[in-house]
Amino acid sequence: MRHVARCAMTAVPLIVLTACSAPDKLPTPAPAAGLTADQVQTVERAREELIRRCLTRQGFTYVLTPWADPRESRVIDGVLDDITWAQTYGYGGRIRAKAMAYKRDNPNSRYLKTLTAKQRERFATVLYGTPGATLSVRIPSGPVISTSSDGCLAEADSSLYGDFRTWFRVKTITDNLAPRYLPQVYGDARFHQAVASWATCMREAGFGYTSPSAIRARLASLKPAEEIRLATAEARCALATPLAGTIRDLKRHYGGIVRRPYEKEITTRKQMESTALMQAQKIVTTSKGVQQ
Amino acid sequence: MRMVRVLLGVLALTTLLGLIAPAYAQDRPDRPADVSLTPTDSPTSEAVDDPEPAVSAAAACSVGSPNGYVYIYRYANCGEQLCRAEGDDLDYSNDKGCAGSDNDKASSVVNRGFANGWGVVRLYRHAGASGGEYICVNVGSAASELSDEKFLGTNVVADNRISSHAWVQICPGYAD
Repeated sequence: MRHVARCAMTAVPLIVLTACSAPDKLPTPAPAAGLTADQVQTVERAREELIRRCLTRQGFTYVLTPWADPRESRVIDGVLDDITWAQTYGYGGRIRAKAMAYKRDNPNSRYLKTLTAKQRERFATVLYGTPGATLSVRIPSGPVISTSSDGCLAEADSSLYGDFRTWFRVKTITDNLAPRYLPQVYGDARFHQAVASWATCMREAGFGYTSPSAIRARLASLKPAEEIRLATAEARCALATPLAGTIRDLKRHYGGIVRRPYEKEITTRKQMESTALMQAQKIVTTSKGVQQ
Repeated sequence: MRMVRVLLGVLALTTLLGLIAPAYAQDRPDRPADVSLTPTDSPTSEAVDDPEPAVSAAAACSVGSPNGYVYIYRYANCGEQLCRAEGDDLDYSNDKGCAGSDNDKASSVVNRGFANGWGVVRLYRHAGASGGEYICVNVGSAASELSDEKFLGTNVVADNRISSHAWVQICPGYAD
């Protein structure tokens, strides 16, 4: 029902049939913005369910993994500037520790250990795809990223996004635009001036750190209460000094320069994500296993 | 007189081509990245968007079987494994995980994560997952040659600059 409502809201009637059927039949209209964090999670959950079905068809077992709330599992880049989040999660250390513990020991890792070497080899081919059938893309900053063009991962992406080759290309490029400009952001004199103001604010709050990076390097050794106190001070000082605003402005400036030649890839990605969301909503509503 | 006109025409055409060709050559490196398909039985690549193959050696970096680890290699195309890590490693310069000697050495990376659930790995230039993200590698993917890394407006080569990594649920997207 939610799926039907979403289709009706996001497209004119003629497009509804197109957008809500197979993803590779006809183009969908470009959305105004990218997906929200919740929508991304819906797509990712549906993707995992498709992978589970694909592995099951090949005689393997796969258990869906619990997803952290996207609001909890944020990646902090530059400086933490959300006081409420900092007061609740610190730097997200407890969430991360729990996730890493799950990553080390979970139903799927335990299952794989029960397989013979030959079965594991076949599992790898079924999941990752045929070794050598490789798609490669050179990202804007230079490195080459490659993946298999078949296998359950590629199949799940094709079902959601449409043409896998196009999707792999636009996703890989647009996922890796930030590395092209972040060094400029963090090398800019305005950033260093703002960090100096932030460090003064932190010193007055009782913390002698010269930069947010200096805190990051010590995160693993912080106790939970200490982490929350420090994170809260970092966020308060980020907002009380020019630091948060400076980082935002510099990212907008340098990011805009880097993104400009790749507007076509960004638009294609948004279109394919919009298609994937509609496909995902159908899968989520028909599969109890995906809904948690 | 007619011969003079022909010669002048040839000269003008040559000059025009001389002006166009360098401009075209300058534009080439800035075109959007290519995708190549390396067939199983052939060492060559088939370019998808451009008749000129962009990549031919990527297939040399085999992903292997899933075990939840990221593998870090000293050389391109997965040459000489430096270390592997199942969890985060926020500082390659200390003695845990990707230990001290592995700091700023990586030239290729493979993600042998499971299908989902904190299976994406982000690699960073500095310790503590900071200093600007270097690259984001999805499950079952390889970054086979990091040696051409260039930053905006510079010719800085950033090969061998990875100092930390963190596992996440998804890559960051286009971040606008």
